Amino acid sequence: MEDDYKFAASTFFAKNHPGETCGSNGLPLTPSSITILGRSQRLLQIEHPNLCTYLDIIRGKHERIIVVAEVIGKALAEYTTKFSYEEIINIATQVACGMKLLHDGNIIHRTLSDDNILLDSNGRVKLFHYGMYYMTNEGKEVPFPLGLPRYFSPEAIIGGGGPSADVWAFGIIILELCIGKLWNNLKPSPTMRRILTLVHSNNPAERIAREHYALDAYKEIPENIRGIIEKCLKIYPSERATFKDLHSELSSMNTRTPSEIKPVRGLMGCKLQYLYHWWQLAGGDIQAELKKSGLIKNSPPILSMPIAILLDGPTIGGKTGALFDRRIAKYSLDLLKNRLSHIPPSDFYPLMHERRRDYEAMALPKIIRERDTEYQFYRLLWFQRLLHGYPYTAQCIRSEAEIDIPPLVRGDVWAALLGVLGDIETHYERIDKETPTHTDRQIDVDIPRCHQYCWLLCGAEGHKKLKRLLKAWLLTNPQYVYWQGLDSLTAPFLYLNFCNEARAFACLTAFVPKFLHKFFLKDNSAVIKEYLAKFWQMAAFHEPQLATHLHDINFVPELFAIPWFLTMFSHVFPLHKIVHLWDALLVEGPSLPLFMGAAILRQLRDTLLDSGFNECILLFSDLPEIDIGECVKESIDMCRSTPKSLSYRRFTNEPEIKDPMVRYAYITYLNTFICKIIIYRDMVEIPMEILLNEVCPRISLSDFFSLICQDKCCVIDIRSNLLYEKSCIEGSINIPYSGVHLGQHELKSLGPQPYKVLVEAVKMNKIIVVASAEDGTAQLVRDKVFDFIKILYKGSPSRFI
Amino acid sequence: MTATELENTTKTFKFSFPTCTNEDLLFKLEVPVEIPYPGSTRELVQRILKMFHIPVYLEDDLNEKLADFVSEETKNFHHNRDAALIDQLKNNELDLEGIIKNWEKQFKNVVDFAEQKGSSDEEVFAAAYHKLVHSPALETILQVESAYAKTVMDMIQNRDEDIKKLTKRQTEEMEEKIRLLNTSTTEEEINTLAAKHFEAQSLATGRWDSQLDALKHTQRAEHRAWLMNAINEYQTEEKITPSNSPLCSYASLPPAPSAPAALLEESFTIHLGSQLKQTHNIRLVCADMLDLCARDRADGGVSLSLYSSELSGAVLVCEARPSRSPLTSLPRVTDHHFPDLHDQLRRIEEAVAEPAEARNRSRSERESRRRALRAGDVFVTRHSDLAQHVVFHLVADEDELRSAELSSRHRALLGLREVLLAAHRNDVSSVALPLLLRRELGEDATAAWCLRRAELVLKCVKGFVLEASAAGGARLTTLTAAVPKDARALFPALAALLPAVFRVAGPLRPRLPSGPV
Amino acid sequence: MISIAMATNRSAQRPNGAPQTKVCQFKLVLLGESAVGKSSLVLRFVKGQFHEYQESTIGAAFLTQTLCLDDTTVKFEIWDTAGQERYHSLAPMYYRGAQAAIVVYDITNQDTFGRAKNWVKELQRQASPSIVIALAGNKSDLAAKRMVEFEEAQAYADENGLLFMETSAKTAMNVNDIFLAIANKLPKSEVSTGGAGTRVLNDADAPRASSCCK
Repeated sequence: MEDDYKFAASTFFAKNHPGETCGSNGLPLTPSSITILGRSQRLLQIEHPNLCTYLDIIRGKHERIIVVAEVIGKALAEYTTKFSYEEIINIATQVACGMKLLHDGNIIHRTLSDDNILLDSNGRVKLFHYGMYYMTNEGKEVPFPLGLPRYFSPEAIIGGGGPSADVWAFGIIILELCIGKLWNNLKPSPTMRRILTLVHSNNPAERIAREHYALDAYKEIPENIRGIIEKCLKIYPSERATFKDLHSELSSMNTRTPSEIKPVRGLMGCKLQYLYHWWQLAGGDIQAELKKSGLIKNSPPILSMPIAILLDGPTIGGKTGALFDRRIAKYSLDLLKNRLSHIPPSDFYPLMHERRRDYEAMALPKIIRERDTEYQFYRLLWFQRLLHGYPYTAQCIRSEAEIDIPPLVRGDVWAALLGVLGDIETHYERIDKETPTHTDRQIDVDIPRCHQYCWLLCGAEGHKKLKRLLKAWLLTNPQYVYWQGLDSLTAPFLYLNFCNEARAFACLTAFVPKFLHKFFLKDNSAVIKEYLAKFWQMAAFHEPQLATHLHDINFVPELFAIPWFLTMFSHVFPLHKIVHLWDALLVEGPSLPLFMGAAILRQLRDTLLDSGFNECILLFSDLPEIDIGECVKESIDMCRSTPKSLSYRRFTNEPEIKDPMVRYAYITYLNTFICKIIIYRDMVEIPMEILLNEVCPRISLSDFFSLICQDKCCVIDIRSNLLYEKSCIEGSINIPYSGVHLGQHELKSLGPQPYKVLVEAVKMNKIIVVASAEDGTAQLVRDKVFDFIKILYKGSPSRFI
Repeated sequence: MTATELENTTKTFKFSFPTCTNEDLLFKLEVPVEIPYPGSTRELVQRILKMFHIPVYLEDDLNEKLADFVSEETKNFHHNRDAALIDQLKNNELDLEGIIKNWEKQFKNVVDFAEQKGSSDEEVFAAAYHKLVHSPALETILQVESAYAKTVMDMIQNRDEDIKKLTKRQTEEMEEKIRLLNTSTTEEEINTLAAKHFEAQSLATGRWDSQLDALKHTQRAEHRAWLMNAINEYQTEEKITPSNSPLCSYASLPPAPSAPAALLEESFTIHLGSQLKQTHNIRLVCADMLDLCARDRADGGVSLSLYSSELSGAVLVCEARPSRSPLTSLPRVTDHHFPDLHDQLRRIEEAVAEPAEARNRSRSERESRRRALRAGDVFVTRHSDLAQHVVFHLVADEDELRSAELSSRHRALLGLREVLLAAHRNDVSSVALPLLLRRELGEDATAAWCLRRAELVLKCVKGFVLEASAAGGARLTTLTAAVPKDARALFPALAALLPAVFRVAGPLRPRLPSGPV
Repeated sequence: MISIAMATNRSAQRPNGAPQTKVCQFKLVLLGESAVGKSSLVLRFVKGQFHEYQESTIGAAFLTQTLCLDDTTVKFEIWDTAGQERYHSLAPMYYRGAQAAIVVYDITNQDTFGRAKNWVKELQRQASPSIVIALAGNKSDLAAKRMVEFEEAQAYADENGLLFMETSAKTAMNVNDIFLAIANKLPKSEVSTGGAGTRVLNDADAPRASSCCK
């Protein structure tokens, strides 16, 4: 059944640039397929009842482009019976309506023909693949001509043609519907010659009819339709009607009210984009079908091998350009229907109040869940629901996003998580993104180096958009300046909102104060230093052995971690990894990156422990493959198991920790699962210079008390015996710092009681808090404590790991 | 061609509004606007508002006016251009023939209008073969092919033995003659005998070769006919195994090929790229490049993938004369798919002459070499009877490769780059190359030289692979780096070098004495 | 034929029983405006690779490369710095204690040459007085778009006692040569006093990564 087909694909090859040509900037020319991919993104956004929605533009091997779009019914060319004049008016009205929208958006069709106007049994008309001329940059990016000669307007043949050329084609189509196919079976050149001779005629339409011996039939056409045809088939484009005029005129003629199509329920009522996405997840394969129907010809590559390649010369023999095949392959959704047939109808309409469902797939890794048809089916419908209710559902979105985010709506969900609201388009429109500034050169040299493996970002369209976003952000954040890396930071937002710059901008605008507060200040050294110091403390807290080693070889975060945090890892990882990282970031909040850093170190732990300074830094200069799923999981675990005050930073936009008795203490993990040491002392805020030197973080009193209450820590009191005996925390052990000798490496040397308690604490995975009350001994204490770590570590690993 | 390159124009947008104090006094502003306007007019309005400090209440008005202005001017822009073109057409000022011819040429690239040409014989056979080797018929096909191969190899063996016998006889005869020199023979007689011997040799070789050629020819025709028949049966009757296999005419199945000698081999998986990383396999083997090409094809893998998009290829360093390809020294069985090697090489020699001459024109070459290939050029042969589908012959000066410290800009390495890029463009997903760019080491190569050369080649290859993978073709999944057999002792050192090059840096040997190039 | 089996890369080959080679370690820093090709030069030198769309460097990147001279093995510890002016404040951290610097400009961009001169000035003022400075006019493959004349740069280099070469990371022209020229100019005999000076190591201490050979 014709109605079973929901979408169709067509394919063609983009133009091949000859060999080694370079652009004016010395960089290789952008491949045509990339340009097409970039331009066609805009088409994916168009939704109109008379236009087939574009679903996907795929870039295949060897410059192949595959276009996937909605289809209905069948093409006018496939109908063998003649249409009544009433039907013709109905078709023309809808075509004009679709064309009006295209021309309003400055999209010229240029390939309008009877084989891309689709009509279904309900009398609905949709234009199919109307964006060919637009996406190929007026045909410049493909090695073949666009459109069918018989619909060419005279000016289009001789090298001109604006929107009015479409009006001519429209006129020819209506004329054909009335008097039958024109210039049937005529080859392109004679057809074009005939068209060109029309310029000498006063009434081209009539002349065409006469040429086809159809003058009588022509005269029989009702006057109003003939009027329309003649208004279209004027030689001078300026005399032709516009689709705006045509549409209103045709609408008034159209007696047929479009038959109300009842909204479909169930699977077929879902958004076409979702259906296509699920279909692919269920195993639908666009390329396979194209191959089966012969649209992708599998001429074996061995048969088109070149026979010689001359250096600084031509390639001899080999591939000849493939022909452009205008046919399309249609796809039904049977595969998907079968896959989801067991789902009860009620599930298509999830209710907000329903308890969150537990799916089997939930236990699987994120990457697998993203590819599970049924899971994505439920998740997408649920998120669609939630996003519809945004901003009232913001809380709910957040808690769902904690589980995972369906890739198809990631852009929307991120915007919701970042609290993007209001008329962002107008706001963005008001920002001047054109006027040159002194930062332009820097932006211009950075953009062609930013995530260029990504096909969207490496084309002219992507470059232009990224530049606009950066300029807009700089203009609206005068307190900040452009630091290299801002480009990488902006890239994920552009990637997810390629056709919605305003939202990409709103997301970036919301992201920076939340996660990178003050990072882009002209003088950001204090901010970065604090951040790195905190990162180092968190690393030491969770990976003490590693931290000790890196500290020993003087491998400090300044040497490698600046790009990590300044760009929130977007300079370090490819986009498909960044999105998973940021999914977690946006939900967990601004402390998470510190732990992500620690989690990366943890993944490289074995290598790092075996390496000296040079090897370490070389390792980071070309970071090995990191398991992002693992990294996210670990970092969330670390983040949640770390008392909040430990990762407290001064340079943050987060609300202050409301703790009237803010005190801080040193803390460190001894081993991931062994124990941690804390020292606390009276102090409201740690001066920067002290913070930077501290390996062990400090804890706030309230966090400390809560640890004690939950029996999660072991307190080592390093004050003197006298003070200790006067008053102490229950269960704490006393090891006066003056009594510890640097040379001692045996835990037992601390005495039998402390030894026992510590060993016990280590077993119980407790945090070890080192407590001191004396401000003045801070420096000394720190050294001692650090020594403790070493002592404890060296004394214990074989027994406890 | 659909639209000639349009010159965009600039039009002046004029806007005036009354001052707040005096109704009659108008502020006038003029803004040059590019037509067609590539951006959003609403954004332009915002810039105008800011630039000229225009009261915001005029925003809506300005939005509307500017949008109208741009749309009107764009329309005019198209109309004026088109009207001028049509006027030219009417006045016969256009090269109509040229225009139509050009369209005609262009439309040849569209299926609907292209000349109907059926698939070539080659394509038909390729499709049939590909289908059959992916059917249960595979086993039969392999048996038949190896039976064919055996027959040829037997004949080659007979030929070799025959020639050997002849040579032996002649040698003895000659020795005898020479022994009698000055007693009963003269120099003249010896010379005559030598000439006679030579003639006999060429006669024998010629006879054998023509026999071989005839055999191959028959086999090839037989093979084709059988397979085309088989595919018909397969498609119409869904037969599992093809009947009438020419196998029946061969009494016994050839013996199973002996297992190839154990290779010294080590494999690595490497990740290339800084943000996005791609995985490639690198295999280091100790083997002669020719052996890698000639390895027994018993596994059928070569047949299976012959018409797939995962071809295998090998790089052979060779002289500028295609006819001297090292492949010619390999004993060869019937190639059922591609022209005979000598034919391929002859075709290449003919085809490159002209382009090479055009290319070489710029440099003063000796007359004899004007039409010749130069170092860095590559010619390509295709095979179904070798272990590699494609052989990339990299032209290089052996002496240069032997002696000097190569720089990464040496033509041989640039040629290697062309090979890897071509592999990418043509779906050759696994490439074997000589790691040292030499087949054997000889006396002069020191261990240090080898390591240095290996590092240079590996580094360059790494760069080329990175470059090629950005070009969006097939992915090079496997690289095989072959170490000459006489460098066996170096294998461990080279195996240690490999991870170093692809992860960390190794030491660099500058050319000494140094100096700017 | 090869007679010596390369055992492990730890025991470096020595030319037929020649005396032990000295291993000198030098810190080298690359400076220059962004997108002039600093990272590309280093990557070409160290890894032999070139990437048209080399990502921008944030902060700095570190690599090492060993060069074998006649009697010495020179190990460069290379700090490739971020080019953007803003990262300037970080630069001293990297050039402090450096024995060599390559100041890079782009021959197709006059501004980058001006910026290079500023770097030279700063180095002459702030860095160690014995620092060897080389000036590299990169992107010589784009000579058709040249904006900085060779002679102009050469004259400037002569005035200031700089090594000078025009390089191309893309074609590899002069890349090894400029590092080699620096290596040749660096003093390799005396062990300089103070922590940051030349470290002369004997073979046993040679870093593991170097499988240096002759």
